[in-house]
Amino acid sequence: MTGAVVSEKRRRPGWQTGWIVGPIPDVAFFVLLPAVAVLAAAGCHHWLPYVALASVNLWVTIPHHCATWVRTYGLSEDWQRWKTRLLAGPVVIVSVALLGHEFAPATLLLVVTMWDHQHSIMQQHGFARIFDFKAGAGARTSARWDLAVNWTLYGNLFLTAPLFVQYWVRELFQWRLAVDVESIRWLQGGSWTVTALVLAGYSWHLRGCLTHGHGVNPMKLVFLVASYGLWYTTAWHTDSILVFGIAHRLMHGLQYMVIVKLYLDRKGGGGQSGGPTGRWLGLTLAGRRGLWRFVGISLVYALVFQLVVGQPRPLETFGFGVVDLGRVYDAIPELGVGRFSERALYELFATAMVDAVAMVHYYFDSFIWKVSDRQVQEGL
Amino acid sequence: MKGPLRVVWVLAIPSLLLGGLEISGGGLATPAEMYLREGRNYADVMTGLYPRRDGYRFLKAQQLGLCRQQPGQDRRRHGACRDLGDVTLSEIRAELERAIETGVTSNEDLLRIYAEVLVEDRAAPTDIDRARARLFRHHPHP
Repeated sequence: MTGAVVSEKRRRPGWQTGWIVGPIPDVAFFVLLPAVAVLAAAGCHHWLPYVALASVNLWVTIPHHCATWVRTYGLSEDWQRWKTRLLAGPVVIVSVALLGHEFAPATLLLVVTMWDHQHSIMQQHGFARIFDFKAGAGARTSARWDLAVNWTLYGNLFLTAPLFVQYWVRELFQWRLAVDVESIRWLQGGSWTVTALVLAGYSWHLRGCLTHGHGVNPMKLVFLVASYGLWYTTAWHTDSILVFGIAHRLMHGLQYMVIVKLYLDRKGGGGQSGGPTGRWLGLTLAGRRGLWRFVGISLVYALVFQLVVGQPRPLETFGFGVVDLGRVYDAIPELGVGRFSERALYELFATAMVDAVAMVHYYFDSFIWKVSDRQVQEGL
Repeated sequence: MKGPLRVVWVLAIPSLLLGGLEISGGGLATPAEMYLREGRNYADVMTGLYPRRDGYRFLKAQQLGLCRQQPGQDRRRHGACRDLGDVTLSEIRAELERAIETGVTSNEDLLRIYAEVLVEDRAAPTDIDRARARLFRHHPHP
């Protein structure tokens, strides 16, 4: 999700609260959810096996991909507008993923990982812009400042949090770029300095918005603090990708599904519901009654996806690792054995599909959520 | 530059360069290059950066294990192995146990290698069973 400045005539001075859905849902999903997600992740770490992360992926991340398909392929308006990209994008990306897994897996992993990080930054940036749009707040430069703050805070997290440092340092060594402790410390010191400068500049910008009558939406700031609070807390205070992964995916996936549902509701009630070709699937999910269809389709999609790519044993993933099928030792008589080599081709397909579906979701999101776009604004 | 073309430039060009490097075989380091280089190696850099985070002792254990696997002449060729001298299984086990005591469950390699080391070290059967149970509980699809 990305955005630009709001229109001049909508701007209002001073602190100007604006809600995306409404006061109670916004506080629940955009302020409290990150804290709840951290607690849930800590609980999973204490009480559930690591496979719980796969379960969260299945029940939250996969359905949030489905929300993208519902919007892009399920809305006549989006389909007509971006037909070429919606058809060609998946073909190209799936081909690249299959080739990448076969010939350059390390490169593919790096690309998917970095694109995932960029996607996370842009989603929070997009929500920040929607908060400004809803409040009619912000100066012409606010979008650039929001973007700079999001990139800087996340970039600093990536460069300094031990959880992430272990991964990018490993990548550097893997790609024969040997670094030493001192140069990493210099880099991290520079990152903190840049972060402090950008935050000081952002404070100066917000002060300017307030004094020059552009307005500031306090909910945007609370939302950013909650989001980065989750990321910094989990990436600094745990070495477990399980804790970070569960907290992050709960926040990212649920907030995304909330905005898609809101978008469908607004488009459904906007008077041009079916577009030129009548009511498509997306609009049947609008409104209060559509909520259960939206949830149902998301869960069915998660089940079908897992059954297609989660073979040969998808069932542990359904049950947060609590369901013990008792077949593990049978399949692995000695440690580490049991690679299912006869299924190598299927594994290539399955793992490539997981990456490919994620990349198609990142790609579609890069153009369907422009907050500056008037047709998109109608759905917000 | 707008839209899909920007994605092509930002993603495709670095990917093609890195992919070409990887396919040509000249890009990726071997485990020995990553772990056994004198001074600047992955294990020593991470434990040097975060000496109080015992989770990274797993990397030291991997380095010790790699040194132990090297034949005599090769071992002297790698700077990190020269500094470490003769590596014993109990040293590796101690590093792994420091990492496991942090409570981390997400590192499948750590749990798997620890179980393997216990077997090789002829540890008590109950310890081996416990280590295997922890591995398979958290990572049922090794």
